[in-house]
Amino acid sequence: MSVSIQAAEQPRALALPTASAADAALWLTATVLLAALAYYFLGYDQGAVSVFGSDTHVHEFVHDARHFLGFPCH
Amino acid sequence: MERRITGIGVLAGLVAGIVAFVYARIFIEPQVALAVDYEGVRSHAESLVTGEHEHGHEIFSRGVQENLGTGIGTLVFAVVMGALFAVAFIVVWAFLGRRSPSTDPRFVAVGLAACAFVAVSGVPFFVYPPNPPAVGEEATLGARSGSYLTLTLVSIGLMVAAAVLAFWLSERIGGLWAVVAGAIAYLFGVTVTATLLPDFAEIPGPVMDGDRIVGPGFPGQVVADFRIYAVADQVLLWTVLTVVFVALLHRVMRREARQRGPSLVEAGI
Repeated sequence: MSVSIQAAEQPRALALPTASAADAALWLTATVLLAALAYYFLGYDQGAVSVFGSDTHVHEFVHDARHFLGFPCH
Repeated sequence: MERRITGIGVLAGLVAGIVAFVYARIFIEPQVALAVDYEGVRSHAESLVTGEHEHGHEIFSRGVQENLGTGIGTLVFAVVMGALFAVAFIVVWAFLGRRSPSTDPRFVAVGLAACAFVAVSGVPFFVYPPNPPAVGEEATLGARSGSYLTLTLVSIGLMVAAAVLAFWLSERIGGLWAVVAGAIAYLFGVTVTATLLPDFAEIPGPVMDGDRIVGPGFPGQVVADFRIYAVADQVLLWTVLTVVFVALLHRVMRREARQRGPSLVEAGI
């Protein structure tokens, strides 16, 4: 791969991430998806939309945090 | 490498979340308590007018909500921000580090954090300021949630576009003017977006019985204090996240470089 050849030719004091690898892409995608899911449950679930129908446990539990983190609430 | 950087992002988020929680518990929770007190006064005044008694029962006690709920909510938010920040940093550094290897990744991280704060917290907070409980009508919750999410996503998208524009322009008009152009493009974009999105002004007025006031409106000082503390909480969260991330980043990158060849460390930083 061109990246590893370049790295071998031009040594660096600080390492670079090998973001071209499929492994890295998968890792980054998984991280973003997991973070987005947590963000949804914290800020949006059981407000406007809910995956568990009329249940409000998650909403009530993080109610105060939701208010001062700026998410719309009532 | 990506895993280590993601790891320090999550760790930085965790530390920032703990600090933000302690701050929120001391400064914001008293405002929430005042708002909840007002809710009680208001529902009492409303029942005098309508003759109906309505008592909403709580699933979790105030004690659970203000300690455990606030703590976990703040931690989850901070860890999410830390993880996403790490991903954004990896993408930006993978590009910048190759293009200009002499750049210090710590400056890249600080610049990225400043942009992330403005895009994720600053602008959405400015357009739709955070409100204490009892402010905001139930009927508009869907519209408010949709508008807030739309603004946040558009703001992040515009910030990315502005950064790409600035990189593209920097070879043509120089770094400083490229950043100014990017900032103007971003501000123009979010201003247009905010103008197109609906307004919500829902701070409860006094409870009226005909011409007579039977219950007070929402205390303005509580709204003002709540918003100031909520903004300060975000500033604190992002500052701690950035400082911890930058400190750990340097250690991880040095260690990584040392593993690839001991001579590189002496030659470099």
